[in-house]
Amino acid sequence: VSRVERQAAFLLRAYPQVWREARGDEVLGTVLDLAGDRRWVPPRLAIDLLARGWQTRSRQHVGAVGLAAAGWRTALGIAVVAQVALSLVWLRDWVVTGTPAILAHFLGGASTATYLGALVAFVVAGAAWLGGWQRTARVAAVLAMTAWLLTTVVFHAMSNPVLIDWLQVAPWTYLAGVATIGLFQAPPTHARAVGAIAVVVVVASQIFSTGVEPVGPVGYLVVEQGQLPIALLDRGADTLHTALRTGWVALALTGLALVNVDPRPAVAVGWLLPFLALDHLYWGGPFGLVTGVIVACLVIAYALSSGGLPRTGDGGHLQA
Amino acid sequence: MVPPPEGGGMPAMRRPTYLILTALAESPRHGYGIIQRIEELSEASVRMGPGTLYGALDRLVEQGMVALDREEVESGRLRRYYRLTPQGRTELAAEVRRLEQDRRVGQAALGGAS
Repeated sequence: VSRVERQAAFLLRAYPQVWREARGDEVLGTVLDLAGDRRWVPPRLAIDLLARGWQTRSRQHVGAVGLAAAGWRTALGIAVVAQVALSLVWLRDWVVTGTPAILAHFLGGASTATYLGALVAFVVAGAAWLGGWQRTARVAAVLAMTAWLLTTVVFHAMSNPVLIDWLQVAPWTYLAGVATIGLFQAPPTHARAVGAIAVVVVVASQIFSTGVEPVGPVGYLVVEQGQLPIALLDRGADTLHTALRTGWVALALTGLALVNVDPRPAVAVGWLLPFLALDHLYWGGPFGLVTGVIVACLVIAYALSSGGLPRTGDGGHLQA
Repeated sequence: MVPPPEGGGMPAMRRPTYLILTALAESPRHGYGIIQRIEELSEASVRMGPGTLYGALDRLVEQGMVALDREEVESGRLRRYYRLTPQGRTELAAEVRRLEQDRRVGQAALGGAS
């Protein structure tokens, strides 16, 4: 067995076992033909195999558990990952004060990387289910969002704790990105309008809230919390009308990002729930997780009860 | 999303699908042969990867447009040859007519002779 054959066989492991049993030998032969005299599988072929293999797995998974269940599990899984990552930041702030800086930065860096990883994974997962220009637009959006975040880090004040500052910018970037992505998914006209409004509100509130602390709970409510229903409405309309699977994930993550990363939305919610201790709300751990899951449950339950189940439309096919 | 054509029927094909069907319309081919022929037909502008090809073949077989013709073992490698079904030929012919109509419309819009 040659090296290139071993590599090809390894790459084919991206496909489900059932698929490999049916197609494996045939595809292996084709890959070897395409590789020719090379000692390595060309990167273009390797990427193609990995991407399509993962896509086949995803589609098989969705087919096995049902579209709604798959979306639900994905949303919950990513939400938990993001939540664990964010909790590390707050844990650092809350418990690890006074510890060596290197440890604090390690915790902050690990959590930030995980958060961004979850974010990118969710968008890329969506890209795998889409095709054509929609896929291109979504990948472009990922790159734009990443560039925006990195630029923010570079030009933001780098004083300690910089990662906390960075993360406080992240949800706005994230929300604007999600709303912008929503514009590419061909939702009905009113949903597109909501997405555009969300972008404007996010940007405007970011500008107005920079360096200005809103006065009292009403101020928080107007500046910060106003974005949450808009974002949820945007995601809900998108999910219900265009039935894009990633809508479920975006829906859950939007709430989580807004409530968790920046403590001010939590303060506004705390005003509505006076029986909860405010200090506890500042710590975004369990409160944020519960809030995010409840929000996701409510919206998904509404979608299911209203018959707005995702359908296997064009976006669900490979679209060769 | 591929827009459905006016009056219903199959939506417009994507180019890789069109090229696969065209390659198979000439004669039955195996996977590597299809990829090579597509590269020729597209004047090297489409270099299809094996993952993309077999994903598309799976779907086209499922849709009844392509069928397995025969299996052979060449130099120890399994070759499966695929052929176009009558349904696939019909769909390809419809796509050719659609493209031709689009070409005429575009040419007329540009002021050229059709």
